[in-house]
Amino acid sequence: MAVEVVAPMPGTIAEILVEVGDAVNADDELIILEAMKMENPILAPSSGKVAEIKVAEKDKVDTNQVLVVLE
Amino acid sequence: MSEEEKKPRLSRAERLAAEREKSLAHWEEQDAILFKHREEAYDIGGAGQVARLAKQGKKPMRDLIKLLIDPGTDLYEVGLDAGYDIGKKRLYGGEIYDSEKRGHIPGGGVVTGVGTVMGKDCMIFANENRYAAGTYFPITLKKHMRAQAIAEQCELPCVYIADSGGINLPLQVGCFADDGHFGTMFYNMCRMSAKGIRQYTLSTGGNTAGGAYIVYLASESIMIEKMAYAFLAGPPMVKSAIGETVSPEDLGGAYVHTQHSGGCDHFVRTQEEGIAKLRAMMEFEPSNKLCIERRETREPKFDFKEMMRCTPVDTYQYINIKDTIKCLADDSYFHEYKSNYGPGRGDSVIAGKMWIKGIPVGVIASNASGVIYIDAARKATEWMIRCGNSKLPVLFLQGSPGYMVGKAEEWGGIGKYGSDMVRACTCLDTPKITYVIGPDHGAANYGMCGRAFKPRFAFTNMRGRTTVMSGETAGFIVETVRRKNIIDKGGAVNEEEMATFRQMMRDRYDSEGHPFYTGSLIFHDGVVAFSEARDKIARGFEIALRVPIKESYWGDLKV
Repeated sequence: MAVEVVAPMPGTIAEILVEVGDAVNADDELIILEAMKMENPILAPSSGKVAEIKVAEKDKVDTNQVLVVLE
Repeated sequence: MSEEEKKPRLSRAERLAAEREKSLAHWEEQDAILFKHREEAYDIGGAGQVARLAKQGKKPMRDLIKLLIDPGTDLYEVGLDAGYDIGKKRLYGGEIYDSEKRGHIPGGGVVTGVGTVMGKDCMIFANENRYAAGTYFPITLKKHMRAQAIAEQCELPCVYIADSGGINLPLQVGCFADDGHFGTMFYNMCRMSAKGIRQYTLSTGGNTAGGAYIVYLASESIMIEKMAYAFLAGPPMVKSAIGETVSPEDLGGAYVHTQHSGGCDHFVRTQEEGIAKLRAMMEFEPSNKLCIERRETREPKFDFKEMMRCTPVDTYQYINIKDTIKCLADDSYFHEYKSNYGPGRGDSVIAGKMWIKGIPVGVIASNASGVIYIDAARKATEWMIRCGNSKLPVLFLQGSPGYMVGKAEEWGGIGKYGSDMVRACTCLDTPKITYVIGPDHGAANYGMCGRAFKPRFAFTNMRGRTTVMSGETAGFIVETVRRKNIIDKGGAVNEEEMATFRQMMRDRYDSEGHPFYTGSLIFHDGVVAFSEARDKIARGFEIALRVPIKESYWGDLKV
């Protein structure tokens, strides 16, 4: 089942820590989202495989925008 | 990029493990810098000044304080960081200090702190007579007033060890006429004694002009033969005014004021005798009270090194504050309020309670990025109200860069809920201590009980940065304004100049927000090392809890 990982806040993608095909565990860091000059790690909500990365570094994102799809 | 060059993806656990050791090393280094910084105030004037005092039969003030307080106890020093490089500060005189070659006054010219004498706590004030003859600079007065304010709030008897040339004359404009200047020192003495807070003075040097009042206004005072003098005008001024020739001892020595004028109450021959007399007075003070139910102390399961490991090197990096709390709390036990409220948004403030050295305290702590969302603000306000209503002291661990911005939050009422937090921390009338452990900017400084909200004690660690906004943001905003101004006037933007300007703003904010800078100006009561945090906070609450906790009245909350 696909799980969409969304941005909890608007900000800028500072760093993408995973690649498509990577296996991840729950609570692994996927992306560092910079908002309000602070670094916010975006964590995997559950274990799975990275199916899709929908953003690139330096992209501006909105709240609830899908960043990564896990399956 | 080749395969080898790619950053290996680390799990959160691996990433944190790698960072833990880096953080430990960094904070050990930073606290070593802090301890070295303090040495300057401890040793101001060096061996030369100690020798000069010895010739007069005097010990340095810090040695006298050691004699005064009970063996095995430490002075709970406040404002030690005052006065450093004061001539370079863009406030409170700045330049005027430099122009008088008094640009660096480590310790601010007076030693202040809470000491235990005959088992009774008191606020101790000792003029730093190894620098500029113990004269008062504007920053000295600020420090003095701060210590008196603590004494008045916590009903601490005051002990003044006086040896001061009075106001530093070239800097009189910053010392004499205003509220909070020299006169306020005496006003505070009078008011405190009227409230039953005793004022004791040991004069161990000159007390000229207004300075003499520190002897006369005391509840009881002591002067030392051929060492202490108090007069409205010294011999040279008497000579010029009325042509009278008189020695200091015959004009206003210890025998004059104890036998003849009656301005002083106790005559002693040495500093040691004077200290013994102060101890004798303090023995009559009532025992220390603690106006809260205390249970036995339990050590945390994690020590301060764990706190260092769990504190990211970068001020603007994500922190898990519960890792800090577990190193402060008795038994590492933390009772959290609304732990799963508003996932991802509510947890930028952690609320709860713990025991610290057996004292129950509420906790409001910045967490994660520290950016306060509506959910977090509401939770914080609710918790402050609960702490106030249950007469619980509150510890604020501040590491918030501000409230969340943007249309969604504005429409949702972040301003309103933020203002509720500000009101709640203002009206929360239980003892509060604020410890800055990260970014400290904007309205978050207010909502998290910054200096202006009068916590009993305000401390910071070496990671704290206190400015209206981060250097990064300030650089951006000021640059944007400047760009607009240039374009509006039909000019062309010089990109190179602009980059330099942006960097200059950033650097300025970063330096002005540093704990040593804010400490020099007494925006806080001290930089507290990781190794000291638990003791310093617990002792602070002990001091604050000498007086019964008041009822909190919340005013016109919006809700």
